[in-house]
Amino acid sequence: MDLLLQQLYNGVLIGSTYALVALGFTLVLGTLDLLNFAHGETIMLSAYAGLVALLASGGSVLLAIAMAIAVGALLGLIVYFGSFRFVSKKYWTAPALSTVGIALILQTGAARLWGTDQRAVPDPLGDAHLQLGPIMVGLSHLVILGVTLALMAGLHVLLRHTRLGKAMRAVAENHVTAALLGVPVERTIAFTFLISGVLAGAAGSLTALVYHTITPFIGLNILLKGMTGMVIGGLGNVYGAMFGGVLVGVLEVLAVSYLSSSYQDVLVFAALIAVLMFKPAGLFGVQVRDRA
Amino acid sequence: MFSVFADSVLIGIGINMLLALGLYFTLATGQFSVGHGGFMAIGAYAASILTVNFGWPLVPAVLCGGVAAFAIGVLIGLPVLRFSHLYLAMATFGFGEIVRAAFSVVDYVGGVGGMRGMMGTTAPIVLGLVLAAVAFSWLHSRSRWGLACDAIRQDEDAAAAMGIDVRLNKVLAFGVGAAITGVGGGLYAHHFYFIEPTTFGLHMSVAIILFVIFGGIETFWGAMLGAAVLSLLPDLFRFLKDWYLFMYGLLFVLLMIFRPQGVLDRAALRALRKKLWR
Repeated sequence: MDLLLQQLYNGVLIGSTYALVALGFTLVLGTLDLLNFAHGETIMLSAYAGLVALLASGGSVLLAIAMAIAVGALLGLIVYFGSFRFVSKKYWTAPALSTVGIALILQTGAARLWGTDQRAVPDPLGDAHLQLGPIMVGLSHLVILGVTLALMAGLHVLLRHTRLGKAMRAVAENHVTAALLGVPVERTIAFTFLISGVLAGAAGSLTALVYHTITPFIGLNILLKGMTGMVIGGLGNVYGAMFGGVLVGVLEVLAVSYLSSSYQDVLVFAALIAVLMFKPAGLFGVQVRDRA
Repeated sequence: MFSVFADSVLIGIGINMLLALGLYFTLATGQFSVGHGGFMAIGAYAASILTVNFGWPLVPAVLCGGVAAFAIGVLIGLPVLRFSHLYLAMATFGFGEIVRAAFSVVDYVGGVGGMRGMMGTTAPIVLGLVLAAVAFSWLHSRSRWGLACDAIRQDEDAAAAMGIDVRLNKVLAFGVGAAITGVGGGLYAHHFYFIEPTTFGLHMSVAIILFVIFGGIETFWGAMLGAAVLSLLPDLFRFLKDWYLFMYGLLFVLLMIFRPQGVLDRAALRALRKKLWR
């Protein structure tokens, strides 16, 4: 029982970073119907930026996270200009394929810049931990959970209670109508990419803290888990993505500890297919909107 | 027939053409798949099991691999082709990952360690199968079935109103595409003597998509051209060394800005035909 509780906690911890991945991905998907395949590499590159800041500052975790977020936001804008702004919307495959191109550029760039070997991420908070009954909570865990919750709350406030959030939701519903009603559509879209990049940057630095290592090739795997969480929660549904991401983390940890690590992916993707088959709108989807 | 190097390049191009043609059939009905690596895996493993464990000759084994991919394609196509674009992309992606993950836990085919023991293939076999696939694609593009697919691609509702069975045509095209990709996968396994589940993951599915999108999604010649050009690129641009994938990515970003429909579209094909026939 104690072991199960600890495993569930570990699952939630990893899952909360997946939830950030899913959030950033679903934001662009929900607003623009664009599968942003560069999201994973944005996460990877911001993780490296965070590591550089961490080493340069002599172990300031908050500075590292801030640096990762800044780089993530910048990359979000680069994706917007490279893959969306100037790409024809006539072929819906074109922007998505273009993000694959950006993903290749970012991955190769990182591999050349920092080498293809694993890089260790030091944990300046060390082994310090709290014992909450049967569950061991590391200090770095508190940072991870704190940043995740702050970003989720921030996103909620942004989407529900600000003009920009209202504009984003309006653009998501219908570009043309939004433009007719005076919403600055292109600027809103650029902001959406920027915020998605911020979430990717945070996800990158936090994943690095969870796993203690990074390589230039982690992006894809993290993105896959985030996408799965997003589909389980419901495509384009921000709150579903939060829950779906956490669920994927829990499933993954339980598969490793009670089956074997090779069943980790099978279980996660089986859950994905099961949701698509029996509840294609996701666990929290209200309806399947036709996104042609 | 040719030198060993030329043979190997030809075989590589031929295999990629089959993989790309398989995806073209799905695109021809306006559908999309991010899981064609999965069909390739099914063809590759089925053919390899037949040749290695049962001693079958290559060609029937590879064709059986295609049949297996067809069966799975129809089975998967029936539920997932109900979805619209983004869901379809996610569902086929999930399918591809499931296939990869499933093959890595089955010990009969070597699990994560992969499977070996296949004997090689030859250029005439590969080119023969490519020719057969091209002939089939050409006949398809001129048949009632091809017209029906084209109508579905342009407007599903209008096609249904004209009495075309949208679901049947979509699923059948998906299955046939899966079969051709499966045949390509079988040949791939025998060309490289070794397969492992990670070969057929998202990377492979995306590579197949890039072949078709680069060449052009409007005609099957586009898929052929894309597969040929992109298979030759690594050899032509060897001097870029470690920066190769960087340039590859840049190429696609620029291509999507300046020619989102791919290099070869119908207008280009028509112009080309006029020039050649005069």
